Amino acid sequence: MRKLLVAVLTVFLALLSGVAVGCVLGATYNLPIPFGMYASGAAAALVASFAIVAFVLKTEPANTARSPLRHSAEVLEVNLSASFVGAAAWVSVGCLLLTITAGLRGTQNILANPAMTLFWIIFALGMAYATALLGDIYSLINPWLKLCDWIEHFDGSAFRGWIRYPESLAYYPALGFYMAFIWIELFGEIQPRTLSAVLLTYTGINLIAAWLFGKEKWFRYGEFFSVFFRLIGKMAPLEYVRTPAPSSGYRVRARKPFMGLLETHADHFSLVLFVIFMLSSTAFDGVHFTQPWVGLFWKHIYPILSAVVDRPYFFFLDIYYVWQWSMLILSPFVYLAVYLFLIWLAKTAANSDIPLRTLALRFAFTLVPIAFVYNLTHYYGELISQGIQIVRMMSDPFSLGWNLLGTNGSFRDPIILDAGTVWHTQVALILSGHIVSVYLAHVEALKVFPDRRYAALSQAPMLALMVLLTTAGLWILSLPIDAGQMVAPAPA
Amino acid sequence: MNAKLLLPAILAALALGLVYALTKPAPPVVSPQTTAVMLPPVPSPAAIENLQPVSPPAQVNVLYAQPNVFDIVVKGGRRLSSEEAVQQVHQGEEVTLRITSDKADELHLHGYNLSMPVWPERTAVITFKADRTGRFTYELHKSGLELGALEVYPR
Repeated sequence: MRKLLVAVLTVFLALLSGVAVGCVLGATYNLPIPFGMYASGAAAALVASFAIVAFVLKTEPANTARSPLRHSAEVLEVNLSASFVGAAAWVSVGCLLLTITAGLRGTQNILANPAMTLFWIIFALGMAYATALLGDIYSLINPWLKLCDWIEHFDGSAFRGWIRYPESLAYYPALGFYMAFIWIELFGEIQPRTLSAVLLTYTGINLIAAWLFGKEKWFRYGEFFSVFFRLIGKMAPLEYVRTPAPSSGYRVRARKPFMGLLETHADHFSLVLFVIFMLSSTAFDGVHFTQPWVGLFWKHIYPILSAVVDRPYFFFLDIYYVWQWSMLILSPFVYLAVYLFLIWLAKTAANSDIPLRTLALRFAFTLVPIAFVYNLTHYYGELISQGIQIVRMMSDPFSLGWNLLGTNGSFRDPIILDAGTVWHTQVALILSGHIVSVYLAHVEALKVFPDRRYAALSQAPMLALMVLLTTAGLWILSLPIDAGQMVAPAPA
Repeated sequence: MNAKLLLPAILAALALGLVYALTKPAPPVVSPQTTAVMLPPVPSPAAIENLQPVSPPAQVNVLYAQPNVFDIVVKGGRRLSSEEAVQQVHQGEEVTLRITSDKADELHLHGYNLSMPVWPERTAVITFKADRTGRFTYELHKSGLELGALEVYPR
């Protein structure tokens, strides 16, 4: 009876995925993907999922020597010296200072000021994608950590911590900063000068928190970018291991791609929420400016509100923005509810005594590939079209008429990819992330549930979860985009 | 593939296909005739205070028959229009934007990097070939007012 219930609920949820409820610099040129691509992509995800399940079930368990699921890491003979890493970190600090200064002194045109492109495109996007390939390089060149190290040259005990980092606080500060980051990106209408102020404030927060709790704890749990890039770095085939004193450099460790997501698990529920927010925030970013979403407020909620509350139009415009912000904050909890429900289904199907919370922690990292490709499909076009502009901007970072690099006239026209190329790339990326996540989830299931028969049963809800997330991602990409301004009707 | 997995896979794919068929959205309507219908009614001079369009109404009516001609009227910091602010065309088609504003500004079409000064009491016209595919917003640059978007679809 239990198996039948799980099967019915799983198929129901997989069906629901078909009806699943679809940038700062504003330089994205992507068109909605055609319905045919969305439908075929989702169908391909479903077929691929079953093929992976079949493969994993027929394969030797990961704990046998011959299993292709066995992942191993070998240490490469590449050493990164402390001086090389230190120099790279100082370059990172220099970029931070340049961003802050250019934001304060340069033009306030967001498309012309290098501060905006440096931070939102080169750092937030470029660093994320480089991390997925090269590993957690941010941990080597974190500018705020480097500033702490520099201050410690003058006072060795400056960042040893005055109070113990509360265990219950865990990754919640990083999650809070993540939400603030996304809010600023989507709704802050941030200008270069404001960005500089935000970065200065963030610098102050990091220094104070590192002084209070100790830099080790703060940059492990509290600093948003450290947590974010560390998660993405787990997908990469490279890892950096600190070598002990006196060399204090780093040794490069190679591993199979994505295996980093199986080597460790989330150690606190706040990290599960963080991963979920990676998914939900990008999904929200993709959906919040689409016609169905905007229409949800103006066609369904606004008529009710305006009938009840007699206020001018601009009052409801404020309500509209508050509604958007609220949906952003609530979005991870909607995704979390679905995630926990399907984890519970998997637990039930596997007849497992493992607590639900433990299973939620074990499977959280398997969602990272889907979250990453959500981000990549939405923003890689911006990295290409706007990111290349940094070559021109760096010739005159403070808008003083300089031509330092001789590139003032370069890339005046944005590089815009053909829409057909973008569509196919987006669908391929979403499918790739789906396949990886399904594979990881099934390998993890075989590790968590010792009985292969029950492990197989537990994979149905996990498969439904992945299909749901993938279909939702494709659906969002297919939604028509709103015009962006509230058009006043022509006078009669 | 294991037969026990194949049957649910086929059933789920069929079920999804049924759901897609039922929820399939209408394709974007892009045709010269439809584009002509999408043109906003030209406001009468009485509807726009202190504004005298350069083209007399008869000339404007003739332009209704031409495809991909979009009229944009801006007054009081807002776009006045009776239809969607998103225009859809196919790659390679000629597009004409005609803008009338009550304040001096500069129309900027992103992606194509086209700019055109806009003066009160004059209708500014810009015609170009939509050779790049994608979604391109256009705005009044000085006031930062986003007016709409042009979506160019591949053929």
